[in-house]
Amino acid sequence: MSKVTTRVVSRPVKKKASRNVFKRVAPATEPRKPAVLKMVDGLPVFDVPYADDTDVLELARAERDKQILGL
Amino acid sequence: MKVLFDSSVLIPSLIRQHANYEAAHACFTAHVYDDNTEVYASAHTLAETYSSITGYRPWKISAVQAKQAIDNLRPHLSVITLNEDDYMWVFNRMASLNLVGAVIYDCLHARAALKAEVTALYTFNTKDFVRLSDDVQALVREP
Repeated sequence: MSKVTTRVVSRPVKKKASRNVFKRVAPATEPRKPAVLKMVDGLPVFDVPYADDTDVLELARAERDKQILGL
Repeated sequence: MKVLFDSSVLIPSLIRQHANYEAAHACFTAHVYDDNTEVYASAHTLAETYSSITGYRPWKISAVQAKQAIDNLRPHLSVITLNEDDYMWVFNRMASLNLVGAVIYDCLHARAALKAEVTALYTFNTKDFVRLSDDVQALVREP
């Protein structure tokens, strides 16, 4: 009579992702300080905590158009 | 000499971290302090500037700061206001060129430039302004 053996294979245990929503942090791009208004060459200039190449004029126009259209 | 700046130049001239800050600030400063140059902006430009710098939230510019910046700019600018006839001129120009959409805001700047009889209209949106016919195209300059 043959003997039946069972081999147990151990698998790595995956850690569950934290579901604590209160631990969410702001994205790295989110500014942490407010803008500072200075005078450079006698003219106003803002030092802003975050900037990119976003065309803010187009964004503002698009936002205003959406508001006008009630979207 | 009379020159007019639109909001695509005024906004970067106000934001040190903006990609176009150096060019915009240098051009604006050079004209502001040139005794032979009168600097103009349309009232609409100031409104667009306020709207844009306060509306783009990552910059965190408050309403009070934006008002302060406009106040600081005022002594260096002559502000051109548009009346009803000017707006009708803008609608006629848009219709005659079959233009639609947001280019109308550029047409408002263009009308202000023609009204002030400037010799140069500084903008980074040259491609939009050159669509507004030859009289406007002749004024367009990039900082």
